[in-house]
Amino acid sequence: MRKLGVGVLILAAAGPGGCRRSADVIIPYGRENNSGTYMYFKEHVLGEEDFAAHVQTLPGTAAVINAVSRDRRSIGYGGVAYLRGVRVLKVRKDVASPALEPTLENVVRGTYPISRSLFFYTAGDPEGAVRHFVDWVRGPEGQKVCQDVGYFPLPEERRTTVGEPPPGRHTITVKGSDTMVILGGRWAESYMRRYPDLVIQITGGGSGTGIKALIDGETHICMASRPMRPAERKMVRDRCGKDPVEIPVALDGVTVFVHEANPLREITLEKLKGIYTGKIRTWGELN
Amino acid sequence: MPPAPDPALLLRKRPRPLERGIEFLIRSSAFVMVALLALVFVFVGKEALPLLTSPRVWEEVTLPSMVRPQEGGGFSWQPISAKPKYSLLPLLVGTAKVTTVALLIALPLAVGAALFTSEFAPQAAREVIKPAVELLAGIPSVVVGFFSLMVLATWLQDALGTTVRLNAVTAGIGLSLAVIPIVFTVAEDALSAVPQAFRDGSLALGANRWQTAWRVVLPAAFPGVFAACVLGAGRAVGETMIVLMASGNAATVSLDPTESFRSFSATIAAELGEAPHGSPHYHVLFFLGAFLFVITFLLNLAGQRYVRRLRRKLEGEAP
Repeated sequence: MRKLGVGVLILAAAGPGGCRRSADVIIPYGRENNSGTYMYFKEHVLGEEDFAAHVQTLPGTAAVINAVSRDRRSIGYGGVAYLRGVRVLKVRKDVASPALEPTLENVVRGTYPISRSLFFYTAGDPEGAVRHFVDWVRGPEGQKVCQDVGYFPLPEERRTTVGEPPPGRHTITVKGSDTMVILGGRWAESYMRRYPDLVIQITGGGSGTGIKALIDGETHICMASRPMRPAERKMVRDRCGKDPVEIPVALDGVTVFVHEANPLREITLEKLKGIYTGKIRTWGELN
Repeated sequence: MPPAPDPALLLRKRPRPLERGIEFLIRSSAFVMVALLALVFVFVGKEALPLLTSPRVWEEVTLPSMVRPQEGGGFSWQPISAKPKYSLLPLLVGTAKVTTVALLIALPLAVGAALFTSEFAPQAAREVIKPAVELLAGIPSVVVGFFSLMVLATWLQDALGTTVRLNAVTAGIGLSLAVIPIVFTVAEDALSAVPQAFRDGSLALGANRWQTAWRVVLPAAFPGVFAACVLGAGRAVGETMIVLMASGNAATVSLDPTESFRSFSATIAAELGEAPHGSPHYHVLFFLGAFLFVITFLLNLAGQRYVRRLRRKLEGEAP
């Protein structure tokens, strides 16, 4: 009997909140705060304002996409390469600008409003095997892999040429951005096939995790989908004795996507900011 | 015929050093257990201490600031921000919310199942139920979390018409899958340990099996069943993976179980990898860990004390 009463209590608590016919509410999904994509979005879309408390977070762009594909009222953001089962929105910088998709052309030219560089960071200039790997990634082979994975390559002027590999066996640790981890893995695979004596170990964990690993001296290269903050650069200088070196290795457009059945096709940066800071709560307000 | 050899004499004839060696090993493993526990506590406490003692950390966050309302009246958890905000309240409410939901589901189910298995089930059923529950315990929590995220969340949204998919109900159900086996095993042991004489006496006095189980056996086994529930509660508070995947991780302050929430354990798991060693964020996260540790410790301590008191009452001060 007591258990029945308890069950009724749960339903009663859930009733007013959960079972309401709130078909219009926007459910925003985002990344966890260790993510470079989170930080980039916060800086460039939210203008350093806080995310609303009700924005749900998931570990990784693929998880965000999966959640959005199952939730008709949802919206999400993430890196460009893994979209499946959701509709990508065109983004307008403001009401007067054109609505653009994150295509190769728009991202490389910088006209897509939320495009960014993806970086490798090293403590001090890269040398030896690390240098060789970085050059290869920025060279024609590495940039082709980048395109195959679905990211955008650096424009021609910023690419490099690859020299001779250093002698002997070397192991290079690469750690950081979940946005870049699949790309990093493909780079590592192709590179190791070409140069079997040079071993690359790649792990994800988020840009923030990679930066921390660089600070703590636990990795040669850190992958980051956002630039390092001044406080972080200072920590690298203090702990490693060298300045961090920022190396762009690919381009990315942050995509905004909704469920396939959602009729919305485009959005302005201001409305996007409104949704994620909690000022806009319903789909009706977007019209 | 010569007398049979005295076994005691034979034992004494074995080399003493070997015995003493084994005794030493066994005793030291017990000490190692206690030492490990103390070491973990010291390590976590040491990394959490700067929150209470370091002026450098106080520039960004202090213990009172974590409890008081922030400017603008809210309670926000946004450690990665131009102005970092560390409020304890959303995490506390979130953890309490999901633990309550999970226990409300798991405890009646597990204790009920234990009662059924020990009092009513035929031997054949018992041989199916016990291994089945043990199998449930063997499912890795990340798999349970994944299941909750992918399957359970959608089912529940369709069934209950909730706005938010990843909420305390979803995570609570997933969590209860992890809690049920623990509570079931210990409660079932406690119920089986009740002497058969109690049951026989009750039946002889004219009670039926249900009355016997509910009003004689269960109260007699209550200390053990209660201990099982405390164990389950401790597990629910500390469980990380299921909550990380199925809760939505939104740091809201809301008692509504159909809204997303953020728990202590998931926060630590998600953020610790990112916090540079020695930063205020790092120390706050360790403080959360120490806080969890202390809560579980106090819970178990209080539970044990209560159980001891109950036992003494039931057994009438038996030694």
